[in-house]
Amino acid sequence: MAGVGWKRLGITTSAAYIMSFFFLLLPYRQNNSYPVLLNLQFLNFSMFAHFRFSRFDPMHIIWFLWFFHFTADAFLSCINENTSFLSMRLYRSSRNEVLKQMIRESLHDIIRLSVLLIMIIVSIAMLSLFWIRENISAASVLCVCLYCIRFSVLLQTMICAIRIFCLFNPPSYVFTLPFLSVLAGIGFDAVSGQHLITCSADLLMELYGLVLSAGLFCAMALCELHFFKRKEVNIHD
Amino acid sequence: MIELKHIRKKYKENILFEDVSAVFSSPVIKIAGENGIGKSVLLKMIVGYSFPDSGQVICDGSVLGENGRDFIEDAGIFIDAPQFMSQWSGYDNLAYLADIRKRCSAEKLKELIEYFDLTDDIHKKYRTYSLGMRQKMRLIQAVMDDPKYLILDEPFDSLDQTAVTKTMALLKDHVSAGAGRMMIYTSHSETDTSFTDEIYTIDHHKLVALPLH
Repeated sequence: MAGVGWKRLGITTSAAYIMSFFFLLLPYRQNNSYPVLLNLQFLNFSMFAHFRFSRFDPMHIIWFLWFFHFTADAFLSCINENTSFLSMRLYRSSRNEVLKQMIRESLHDIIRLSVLLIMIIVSIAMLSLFWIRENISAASVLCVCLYCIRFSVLLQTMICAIRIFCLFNPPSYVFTLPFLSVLAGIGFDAVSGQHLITCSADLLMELYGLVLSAGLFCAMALCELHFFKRKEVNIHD
Repeated sequence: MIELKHIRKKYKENILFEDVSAVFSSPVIKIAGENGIGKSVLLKMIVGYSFPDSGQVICDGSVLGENGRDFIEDAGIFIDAPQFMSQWSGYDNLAYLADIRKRCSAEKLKELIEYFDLTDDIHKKYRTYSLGMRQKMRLIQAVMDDPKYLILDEPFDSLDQTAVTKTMALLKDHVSAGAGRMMIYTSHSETDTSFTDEIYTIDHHKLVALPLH
């Protein structure tokens, strides 16, 4: 199935993520819950401000960039290849059929990404328990797992949008729109203290967020189906 | 039969085609000319990847872009050297595409792979392939479903002389194997035109027929 290179992505993401977690854990472990630490990993700037930058370990930036670089590279390389490959799939069926197939693939990718993230989270929880002997509540783990699913839906909405925009001609706004949306989301989180992108550490809020994210994915799929019929196909890789 | 009716097409403020009309009915048609004159754009309009600013492309009586018809039907196409999934093997890529129409059996796919001397490399990752091997992959995906129409953009690029000869023989056999089959290909080089029935070039925004050598 076309999509994301999961093996490479899984190994690099897990390694970078787990390492960065322990770099964060050392300066911030006291009085911080597990979801809060998770948010710090994703550079939630309002939380950093709250917990004082002076305690921030600069080594985390290295791990974060490493993690971000490999993840972004793995996703983007696959997206670029799909653009060209899709042109050979398109003429064998129809625009609608390929688009529906891409959305089905994205749904499969959401499941894979969720499982991957949840496995990482559970590994970190287990490691924390054995290594640092810190108790992590079941509610916290459940909340973070829900967040992983929500994060997967948001990420796949962006990836699906990029894959489809790649097919449009001209494709100049391929990366602009989804990335601006994510930056706006992170910015909103930092300024307002809300949790559009980051983990809210609240079970009900995460459930609510999951429903909203799923709605966003469906709305995106419907819009793309509508617009795709009227656009020229970009077949450059 | 493919018909172009009063096609007009602009690309980045440059007019490529102005009131172009033509009927393609010969089995093998070559679009010749230098790089950048609009050969690939013409093919894109013929298959339905690109839309004319005005005019119509009619294939077997149906207008492309109308009544839910997105692309030319029953075709094998490659334009602008498309790439396959690099993390998959060559075989996985071809099998994935073959599975969409379900017309190409595993035996036939194997025959084509052997014909193009890709047997030893077909299970290696696509990203390790040379330019010539990639071109052979494109040719295989175009012909493997036994399509009525072949629309090929620079099919002989990156191939050595042996591969060019074999490709010509395969395409010739393919076109002559069934009534109504047609191939339109572009080339900027002076390839052997012994199996070509018509040659066109693009001159001053018009499609101009050239004499056969």
